Amino acid sequence: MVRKHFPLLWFYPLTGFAFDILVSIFKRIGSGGNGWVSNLFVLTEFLILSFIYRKRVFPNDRVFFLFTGALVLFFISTTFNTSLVRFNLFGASFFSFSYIVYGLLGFRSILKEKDIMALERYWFFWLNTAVLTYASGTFLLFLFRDYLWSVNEVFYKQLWNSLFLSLNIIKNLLLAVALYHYHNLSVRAGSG
Amino acid sequence: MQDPVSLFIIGIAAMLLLAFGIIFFVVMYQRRVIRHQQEIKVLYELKQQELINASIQGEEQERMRIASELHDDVGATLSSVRLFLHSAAKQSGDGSIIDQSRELLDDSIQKIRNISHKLQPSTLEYLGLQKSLQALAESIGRSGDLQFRFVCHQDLPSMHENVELSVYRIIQELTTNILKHAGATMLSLEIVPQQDSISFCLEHNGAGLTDVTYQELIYKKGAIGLKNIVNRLKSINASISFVQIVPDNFRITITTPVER
Repeated sequence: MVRKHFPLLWFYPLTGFAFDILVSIFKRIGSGGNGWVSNLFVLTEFLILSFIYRKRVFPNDRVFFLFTGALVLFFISTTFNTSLVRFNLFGASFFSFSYIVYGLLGFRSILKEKDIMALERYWFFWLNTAVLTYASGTFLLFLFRDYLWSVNEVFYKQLWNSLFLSLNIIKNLLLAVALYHYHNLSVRAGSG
Repeated sequence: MQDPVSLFIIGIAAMLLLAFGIIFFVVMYQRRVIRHQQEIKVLYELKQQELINASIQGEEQERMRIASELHDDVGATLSSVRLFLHSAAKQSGDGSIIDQSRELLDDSIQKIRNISHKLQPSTLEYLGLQKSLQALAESIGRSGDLQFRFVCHQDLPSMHENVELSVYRIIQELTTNILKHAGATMLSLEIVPQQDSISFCLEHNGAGLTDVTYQELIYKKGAIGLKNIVNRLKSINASISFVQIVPDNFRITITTPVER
């Protein structure tokens, strides 16, 4: 069960890395707005995380496909509604909210598992910590972006540069810890 | 009304605090669960130990009861019959049948004594483990089936009577198995006292077990003798190892801790 998530867990940081490179390339060649790259990234990020949490959070496949399908459709429709080249912050805030739910349900599933002997060596705990911390910080940041931008543009830019980037770094560090502990099966009582 | 920027910062801070609070709660709760599980495990092991000890104690009591019944009741009755036969032989002219019966009776009385002694080794109670093992080695050696060498480098320290009895029973069971199944012609028992433990090494030149075959056997159906050995080892915190030294030479080492 643990090894089944292996490619997906690796896909998450690798996708982030690939999109970061893509954004920097577009910035360098100065090809207008790169909002569509960000939209594509958050959509991919949501799908990857949903598949990682699929077996632990969703009661069955029907609920999983219904939930992820609905959110993907919502995101795509809101993106088309606003602009394709602008980052869909409203849709992204919904994804952040769903990550908070994933994190909470993920912790619930950890507490239900009776055979975890060392939480600090359990990759799923670190993944949950990364997701919950990142999503809790970014949820309001995405949701009230337009409003705050209109109120105080300079402040929002500063906040984005400091808070969002810090949260992103923390998330990636915690993800690295999760990947490090990924193969460590000895946390389970029976396998040590 | 408060500044929307301040409200926004408070909101984000509250969300992050809540997230850290949840993570902290999960960590603390999990620690409590693990502590609880460990307590249950310790209790379970204690209970298992108590059950093993009670079963061994019950078995020993039953052995003692059978031994005393054989010795005091059946043995005494047979001795009386022997006396009656002796009187009958004096009275009747032809005593050959009676003499034959007396011989058989003597043989039976001796066998009952032996069984009684095996069930309840009186030497263990009065003379201790070392002398009892020596007596066991001598009695097996006398049977002529194999050569039994007994080596003890120094006097054994006194141990708890349960430990002595368990070690004696384990060695008794192992030697019986060697006699029955190994086809050995040489057997030796060497006792090596160490700092905090005593090792009892049984070596023979028959067909023997290794640690792997021993583990396989104890999980199979049957092998009651080996399972009893496992229980007795557990009850005294001792360990056992089966090693093949050369192709037809095997060593069994029982190591029991000693409280000084």
